[in-house]
Amino acid sequence: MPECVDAILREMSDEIDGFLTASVGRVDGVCLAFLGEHKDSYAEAPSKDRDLGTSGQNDTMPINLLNLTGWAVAQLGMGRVDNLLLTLQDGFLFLCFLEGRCYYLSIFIERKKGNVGNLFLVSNNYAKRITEALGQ
Amino acid sequence: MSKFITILRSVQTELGSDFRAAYIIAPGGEILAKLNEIPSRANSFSNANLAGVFKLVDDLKASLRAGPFEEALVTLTNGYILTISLPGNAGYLSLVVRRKEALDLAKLLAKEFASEVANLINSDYGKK
Repeated sequence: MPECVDAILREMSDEIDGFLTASVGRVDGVCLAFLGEHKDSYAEAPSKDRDLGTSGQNDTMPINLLNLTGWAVAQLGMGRVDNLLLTLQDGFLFLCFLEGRCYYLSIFIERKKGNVGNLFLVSNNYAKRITEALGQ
Repeated sequence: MSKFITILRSVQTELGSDFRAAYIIAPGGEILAKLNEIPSRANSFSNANLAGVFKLVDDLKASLRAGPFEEALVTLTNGYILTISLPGNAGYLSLVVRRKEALDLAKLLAKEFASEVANLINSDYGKK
């Protein structure tokens, strides 16, 4: 199963402008698949550690952010968090729950080469494929 | 705080029926001022969780090494939350809108009022 998700992430990376890293994880923070070139990325930990989910807070940061944001806005009465886009000076970090909300997808792209519209479109298409690959 | 509310009311007027809520948030996550579409309802951001969100954003920002945080867009089932960082790390301005079509105007308004809000925070909030 993880190999299949890895292949999907590789295919997705070709379609996203300015792609740096992408990961798929469970809501408990365990990283199931990771693809990236950015050496200083938050998920750039030894693969065996990532697979075991023991690489410390780094793996749980995206899902913690999604969950905390969900709790912070719960009382607004506008539904649940679908996705979150963080704009930093040099990059965009996109986080979204996959269907069923048991897994999440995280994509980090370069600000200069990246395109948010392209990111939303491609991530939406591939989120469905990843969900299917995970057997949801 | 009335000056904060005056600014938030201007944003509400510009956004019209797409406006749902607006918040001015301190760098630590405390809500300095808020304007809800229906003031009597107890619907708001959760202060405690909000502080955690901004702490996590800081941690993520440091890990990613991609420069300072500029803005965040949260897509909810029935709306959108746009949060921008105010100049000089004065805090954040957060606008909640109903429709995707209102996001561009919300972003424009947030950037337009950002300096004014930052100046107010530095003058008023700093004295408290």
